[in-house]
Amino acid sequence: MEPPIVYYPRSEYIETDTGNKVSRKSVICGSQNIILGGKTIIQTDCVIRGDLRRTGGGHAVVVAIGRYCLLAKGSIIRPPYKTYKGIFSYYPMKIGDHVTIGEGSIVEAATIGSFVHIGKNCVIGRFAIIKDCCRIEDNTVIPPNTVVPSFSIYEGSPGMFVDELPECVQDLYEAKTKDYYSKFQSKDS
Amino acid sequence: MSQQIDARQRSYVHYYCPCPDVSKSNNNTGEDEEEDIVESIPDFDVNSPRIHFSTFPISKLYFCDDCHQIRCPRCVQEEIVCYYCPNCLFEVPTASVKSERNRCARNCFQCPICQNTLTVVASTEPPPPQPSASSNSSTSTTSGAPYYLSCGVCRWDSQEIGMTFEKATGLALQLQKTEDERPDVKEFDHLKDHFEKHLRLSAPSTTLPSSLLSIPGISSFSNRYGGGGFTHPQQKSDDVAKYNNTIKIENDDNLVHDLVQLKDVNQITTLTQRMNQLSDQPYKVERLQPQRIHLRTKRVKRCRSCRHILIKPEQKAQATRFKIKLVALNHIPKLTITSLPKLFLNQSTEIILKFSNPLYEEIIVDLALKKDETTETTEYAKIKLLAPHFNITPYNEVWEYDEQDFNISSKGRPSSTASAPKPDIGIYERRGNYTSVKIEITPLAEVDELKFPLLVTYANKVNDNNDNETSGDAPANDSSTAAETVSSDKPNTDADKPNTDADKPDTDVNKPKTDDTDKGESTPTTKSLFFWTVIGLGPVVNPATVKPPAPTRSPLTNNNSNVAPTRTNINSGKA
Repeated sequence: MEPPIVYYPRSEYIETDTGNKVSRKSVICGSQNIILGGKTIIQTDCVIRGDLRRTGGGHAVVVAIGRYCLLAKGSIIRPPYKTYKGIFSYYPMKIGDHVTIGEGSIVEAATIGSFVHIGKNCVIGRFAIIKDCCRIEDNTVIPPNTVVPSFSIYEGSPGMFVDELPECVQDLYEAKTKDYYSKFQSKDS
Repeated sequence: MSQQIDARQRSYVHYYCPCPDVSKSNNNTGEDEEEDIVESIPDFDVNSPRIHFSTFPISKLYFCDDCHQIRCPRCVQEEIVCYYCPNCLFEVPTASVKSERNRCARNCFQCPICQNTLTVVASTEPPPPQPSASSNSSTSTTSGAPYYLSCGVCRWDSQEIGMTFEKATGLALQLQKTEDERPDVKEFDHLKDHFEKHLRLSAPSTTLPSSLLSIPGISSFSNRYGGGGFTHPQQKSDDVAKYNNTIKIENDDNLVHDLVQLKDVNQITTLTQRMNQLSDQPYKVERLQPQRIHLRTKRVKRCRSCRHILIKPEQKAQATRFKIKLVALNHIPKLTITSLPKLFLNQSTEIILKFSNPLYEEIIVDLALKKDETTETTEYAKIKLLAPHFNITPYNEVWEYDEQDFNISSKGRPSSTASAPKPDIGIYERRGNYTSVKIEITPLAEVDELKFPLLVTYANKVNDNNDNETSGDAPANDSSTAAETVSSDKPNTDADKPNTDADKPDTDVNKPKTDDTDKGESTPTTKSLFFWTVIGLGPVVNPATVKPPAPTRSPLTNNNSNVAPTRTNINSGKA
């Protein structure tokens, strides 16, 4: 089934030069520490905590998000933290291209590769590593420090490997995210 | 609204792979090879109970270039090219996989309680800081080592079962000794030693490819069935000396006694926990051990009939690229349902099916519901194809960049512009590399899931440059042993049949001549293929007895406040 065109009120979203669409109703903290790759959509009520950065001075990238990503309504991106050698610190998070993060999901991963689909209401634990071409089903909890290898489907709480993805998943997810971006259109209300 | 979303999620287009019915169709084609093409198309029953095992979404299918046929996961052969640990992503050489029992030999362990990956944690008590107490510390480390495994999900840790480690690395190696001393491992090694003596005597005539040798017991299998006569190894196996087991199974009276006394169900292992520790399958939770993580594989996939490689991943464990990737998505038209209104009983509804062309050539598509029929009435629905014959313009990468441009079809190749002005009946939209067509459906029965079969036949013009490809197909046609090659030929229209026939002698005898004749003809040959699809449209609603969405919600809400309104609604519906 092909997804329908999604309209949003023109006044709600800011569109950047590179085609990122960011909702004014989202909470973006420390925007100077956040990089968006272009054509990425950040929807209503998203939270990106760019202010949670490594202790110590200097400019640092906290959250790097690639191209054609979608942060659906109410998703939360928070960099992971740990106490290493007695020092509490946040660590940067990297998200690849063509990544979909479903509604209400909380992501505290260390890295998320490209062509990844994360369903609705998921929790991605601290320092989880999700490699390229993965699918996390709805309502999954990925425990901290988990590695999700390429071409796997994880499901459940705690998230377990349930199936393999087909080889053409890269093309599928690329087409899907591009299609969603082209169908996410503004409308005067 | 919620119902509509449900219907949308339940709609699908699945492609049929005839492989499970290969033997059946093979017999047919052998007899009536000269019969009409339409006749040779195998029947397809959407209500057959086997349908779920022979239809797949397009993403799961492959396409064999040589057979020119769809291949499903059940008609490909797999070969392991690489073993790796899914947690540390280290590649394990094939040679050592067997000795490491198909599990990661590094630091990766699975929680015995919740099967999650464990992390190595240093003891909360830091190692004794005073240098003066070094003599004391050395004794203390021997008693309680500083590292242990901990589960981030269920908070289990290996200290509970008294498992600690001296170092944070090479944990599996540190456990090797205890693992080797396990009775089941000992017994297996003993058993292996016992039989290996005999296996060594019988000559190792390994005719199998080396990639298969890592599978335990396969060499003995090949000795028995592959190499040499049957009687010789049979004799040998009779000579095997009597085996005496070394380990005696301990008396389980104590265990039974303990189990009888149990009062808490949590003290007994669950089935998954027990099955995860196959070696001894303990009943008591305290006897569960962390298990090393199972390795995963990367596999080459081959076509079962022509042995050509369809999928070849890169050797490296972390790479996601493929050296060869022949997936159906890039070779056959993709069908998507773009518009699916709610289906009401006895109400004709138009659905829109989008056909997209992944090829660089224009294709002509013919649709049928049942051998050349465009309308069909079953007990469930009356279906009418409004556009049974149409073309789709080729795929063009440039379109990827200006998707916003809505007048793209007019910019396409001249053929598309020629067809565009024509009043197309039943064509909903033509744009880029896709054409959307309308199908009229009148449901005649209230069913949970309305589905109908659709036969898609498509032909694409192959340029003279690609002549080799068609001639490559010809020998496969000749053999006609494998069912799929036969079936791939059948859909060819009469017009192109002489063409392939003309090709056949050329490939056998002289090549240059073929080129001449082809140039003389200068008509592009056509390649065609047909496949069955099942289109599922979700439930049919009866407008007379239609209920509001409330009763279809979860039963929990039903029990409370919604009971009264649903009753009244039902009453009103009857009235």
